[in-house]
Amino acid sequence: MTDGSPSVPRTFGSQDLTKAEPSVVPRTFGSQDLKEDVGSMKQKAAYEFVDHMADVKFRAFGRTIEECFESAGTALFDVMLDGRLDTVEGRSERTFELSSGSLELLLYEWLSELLYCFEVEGLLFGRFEVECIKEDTEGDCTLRCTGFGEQFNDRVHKIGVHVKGITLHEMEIKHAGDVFVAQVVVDT
Amino acid sequence: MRSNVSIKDFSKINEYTWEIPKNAAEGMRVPGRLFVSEKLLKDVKNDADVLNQISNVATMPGIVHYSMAMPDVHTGYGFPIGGVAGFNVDDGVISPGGVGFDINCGVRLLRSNLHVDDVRVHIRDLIEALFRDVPSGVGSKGRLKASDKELDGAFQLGSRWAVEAGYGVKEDAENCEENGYIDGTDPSKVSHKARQRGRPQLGTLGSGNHFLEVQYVDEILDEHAARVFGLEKGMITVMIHCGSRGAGHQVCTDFISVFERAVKKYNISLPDKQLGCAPINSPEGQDYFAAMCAAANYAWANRQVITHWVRETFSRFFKDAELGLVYDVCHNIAKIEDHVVGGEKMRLCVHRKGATRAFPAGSPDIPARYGDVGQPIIIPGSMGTASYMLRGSEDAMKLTLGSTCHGSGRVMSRSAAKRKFYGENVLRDLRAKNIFVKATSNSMIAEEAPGVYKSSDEVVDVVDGLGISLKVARMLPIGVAKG
Repeated sequence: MTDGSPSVPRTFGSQDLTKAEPSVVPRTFGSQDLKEDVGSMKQKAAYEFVDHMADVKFRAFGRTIEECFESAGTALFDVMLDGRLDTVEGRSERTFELSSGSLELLLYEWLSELLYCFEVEGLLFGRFEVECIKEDTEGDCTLRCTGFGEQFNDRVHKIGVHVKGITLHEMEIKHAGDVFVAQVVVDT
Repeated sequence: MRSNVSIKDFSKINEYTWEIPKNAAEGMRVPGRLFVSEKLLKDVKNDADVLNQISNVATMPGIVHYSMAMPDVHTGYGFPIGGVAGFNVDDGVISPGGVGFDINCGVRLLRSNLHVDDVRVHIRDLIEALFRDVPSGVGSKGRLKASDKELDGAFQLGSRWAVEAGYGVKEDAENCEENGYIDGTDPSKVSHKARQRGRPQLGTLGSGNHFLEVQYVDEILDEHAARVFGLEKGMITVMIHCGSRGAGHQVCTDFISVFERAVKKYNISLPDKQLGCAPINSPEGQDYFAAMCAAANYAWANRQVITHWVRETFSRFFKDAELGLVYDVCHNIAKIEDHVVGGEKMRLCVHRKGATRAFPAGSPDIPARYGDVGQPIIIPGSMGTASYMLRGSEDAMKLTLGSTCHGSGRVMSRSAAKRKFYGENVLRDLRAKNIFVKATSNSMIAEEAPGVYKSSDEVVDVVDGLGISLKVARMLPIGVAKG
């Protein structure tokens, strides 16, 4: 959402993604319906949380597939920081290049990589710039992106939710009209 | 192909058994069985995805008997939590999602020579000390800086490695499911990433629903079995609940990708990608099994190291304190076991996802000292509620592939819990009940408030009523340290 306009239609996703779903709980982990501004880093990411019995489910939106991935990456750290993404400053950056056999698996492997960076290196990201996601004729997908964030500091950052892993459960990436939406369930 | 099973598709078999027939959803190979009381069925009705998840598991190749759900069942990702499924090793599958991220998440119970009256007066200081001495919380790093050799030891020999490294006594390893390690694992199947995640976390409790609880035996329900397990009324016990930490989480993560490709390779049709699976005897299946066993061993090593530090802490408070391990059980695991199904002896890969093995008296797979009463089964309550010691029984072999419940089971999501409960109020209510809780954050306490779980009494009544495990003793908490 580069211009900050509330362009994500709330009805999107009601066709397939919300079928047989529990009721949507907007912004469980933050203060707004769809995130427009996450504080100091001015990240424009759009996502919403959906109630799930034991774990955390979110839907990430974007007008391009790249924006959709940016929103999903940001949503993951919003979960971990319990809505306090504004505590993360973009002091350092990290480049990611990944390829995978499908768009869904690419998202799964990228989010898993982000989680690994946090667990092993203590890196927290508050913003992402996904340069491009390409899909070849075989269905293989590649991603190149940069994450902006900083080292975990327990005096500044409070980890509220322990994400154990990203799941493929109910994972879907859909494109309808001019909006992409990715649905992700993470094990907590 | 997504199941959409409704509660109307159910038939009641007996007071505690409900069946989802094979024709309730497309592709089911066996019926589903749900073991709940009328009262617990209400929770299932409020958690409708549970039925779909039971029927989804029933579609997996090689499943035998039933796709089962224990009375503490709730919606998970892929398998339901509280799910049990056995797959014939000849033509069946193994599924990383059917074990979950926290491989060999489990629980152990220590008995002591201390009486509750002597400990309660020190409980605040004792819990504060345990909270300091046993690292916990997200991203917590252990006191133990594991070398490559030590990490390999944990992956290969589990509890036995920890005992040989000085973190316990020989009996500790013997008093674990599988004697504290699954033999013949291959640490080379554990990825570099899983090693990197696991290395700093060996000897840490973790967070979420993991805890370390000081309890006392409030009631003996089976005199003979309690004597065999060494439990007496008023005795202080310590319960440790944790798993394989980042090592297990990464093993699962790695193999979900591998199995996503394997599903296509072996032409397996599944209603949910998280159920990704491969034939047990395929290279992918064997690699996952080896890595999963290594992670399971890591979890036993982890609980053993923590046990050692708990003993050290107790010794500082009580000079002659002795803490002996009663038993240690797995909650998330796939095991190769022999069972009789429909009169036929079969070797199965039994997946227990939030369920406990419940082997009967006379089983060669339980320590000889417990041979005449059955395997000890430890059922943790939610924070502030009763926990139980049960014993395995022959009925579990007939009904549930030697399985029973694992805890209380959530009835409310974490976000709903945070909307309903405030950490400070939960702490105050627990203190009014003489239970001291120390946690890394108040929001964690709200998420794990006693009100977000089913009653452990109700869950245990069902497994005891069914006869798949039998009550031995009830324990009540006096202090809890949570990550």
